[in-house]
Amino acid sequence: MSSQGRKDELDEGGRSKRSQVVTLVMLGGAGIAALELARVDPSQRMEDVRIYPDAEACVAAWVRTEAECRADYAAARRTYAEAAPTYPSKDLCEAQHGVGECRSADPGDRFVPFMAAYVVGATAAQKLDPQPLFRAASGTSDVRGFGAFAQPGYRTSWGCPVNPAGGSSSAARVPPASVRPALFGGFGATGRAVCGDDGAAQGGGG
Amino acid sequence: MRRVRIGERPDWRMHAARNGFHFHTLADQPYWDESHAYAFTLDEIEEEIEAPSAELHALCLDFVDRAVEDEHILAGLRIPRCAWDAVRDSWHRRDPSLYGRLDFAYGGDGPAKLLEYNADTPTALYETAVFQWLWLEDLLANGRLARGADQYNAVHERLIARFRAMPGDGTLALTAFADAPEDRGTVAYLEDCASQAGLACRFLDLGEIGLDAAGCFIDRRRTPISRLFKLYPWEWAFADTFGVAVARTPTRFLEPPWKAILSNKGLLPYLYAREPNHPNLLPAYFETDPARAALGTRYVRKPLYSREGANIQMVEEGIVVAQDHGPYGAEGYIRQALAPVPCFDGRRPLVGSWIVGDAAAGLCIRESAGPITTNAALFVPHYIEAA
Repeated sequence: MSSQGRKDELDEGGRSKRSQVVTLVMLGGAGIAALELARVDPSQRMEDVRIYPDAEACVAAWVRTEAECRADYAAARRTYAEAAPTYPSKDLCEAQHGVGECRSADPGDRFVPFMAAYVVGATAAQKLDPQPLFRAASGTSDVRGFGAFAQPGYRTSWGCPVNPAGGSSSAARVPPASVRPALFGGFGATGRAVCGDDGAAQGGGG
Repeated sequence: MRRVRIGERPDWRMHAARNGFHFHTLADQPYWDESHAYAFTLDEIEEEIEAPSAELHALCLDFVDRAVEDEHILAGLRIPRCAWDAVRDSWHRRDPSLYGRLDFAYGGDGPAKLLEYNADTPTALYETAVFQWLWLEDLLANGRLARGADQYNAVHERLIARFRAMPGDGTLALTAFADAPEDRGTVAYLEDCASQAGLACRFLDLGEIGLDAAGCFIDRRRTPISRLFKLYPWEWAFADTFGVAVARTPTRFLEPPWKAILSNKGLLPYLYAREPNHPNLLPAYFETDPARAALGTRYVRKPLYSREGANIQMVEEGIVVAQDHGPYGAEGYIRQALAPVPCFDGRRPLVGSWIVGDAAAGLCIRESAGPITTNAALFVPHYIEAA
């Protein structure tokens, strides 16, 4: 997918005011659609985390101090109060999180999953905010293992699977996106508002 | 400078398709028009466009250097206070810029007059750098232009060189409204140039840009964006939810935030105040400045922020003789002496002079029927006549 023009070498002997060669490596031929093929997907560093059902499990693991465990758990509970995914019906909630995993929220016409566990960074240096985790109903998460040996599957409030490595381990290694919340959609609103309905067609160039 | 009825190539649409030029017709209206072209002498290009462009750009950089240290200027340009640190820091770090376009009223019979500097989000780039270039080569090859004819257009190779010299980790993310064809086409072209310069590129719709807890801008996969080209004006970005995050983010931008000082009609009164006898500058004043009376009853009224001619009013004998409606103006206006774009066969060619990096690099002409060049203008190619 490339197109190229080379300046006619016979057209002049002296200096020139234009590019010597104009080459397009992606736009040629198929145009913009071809760009999708050229996208880069850089490999990401991974994040080592610990997953605990509650503060007691954390204390019992002897990795963190009791004070750290209780502070982390409290932070995850606070985030849970704001960030738990909400559903318009109990059925929809249980379809995502499993039967018996949901309760009615306040106000009472919404449903949220219970906080089933929480995830923290393996070290404080990661500066990872403790996040609440929710059960993933079977079939909705990439739960490892088979039958009776299946590990519990968890998801973050934004739906990323976070699962222990195996056995009774609390350790997991996950992509940062799985455990670090982020905001999206913070650019573009002013442009859409300024341009009105045809803002999309007109854009921000000039 | 002449307007030449050169005749369009019968197969230009095939050339357009082959070279990825899909926005030659926008909303069923023609945009690329090669039925005629503008011819310049080499002296006109070098003495009257290229040299003044380089000089004005240097003057602009000098002004940025002063503006970042002067809160009265930043406030007068209506740059929001929350963005001042981002603007200042980007200048103090010498964050590199990529490109800009100075727009001139010029007809070959006197100095080019600077109308404005689109220093932040200029389009018409691909059609300048590639399709106009191919047009010239084609006409030289088939003998419709005399051997020795040239074009003022090193934009393509300068862009690649600029990307090649860009500091950083070798990656570049690019963003725009993905559903705006002209913008998407411009960004796709820049992505092509950056790839040729060895950068690993990815395109994101504006809505796909995220902000993580560490203040870094990220993509949907949470991959940090180290450098982001945005075809989205800084004044909009600063007003968005993410605007306040720009000052603290490790992400770097093209254009850098300091370009907000130049892509602002408030630049014009400051440049004029500094160099009142400059042959390429028109008298200009903030509308709040009593000295504007010096312009009399013949002037152009422009919002500090606007693009593509929107909300510009042309006033003669105190009466509005032409205006383009649009959404801008709430942040205030400047008034600039009226320098009508010269008329050739009833058409008005606005001369766009490209700056790549800090060097003057090429030319584009957008031609209108009316006195204000709007987004309905036609792109018309140019050439330099053989000596």
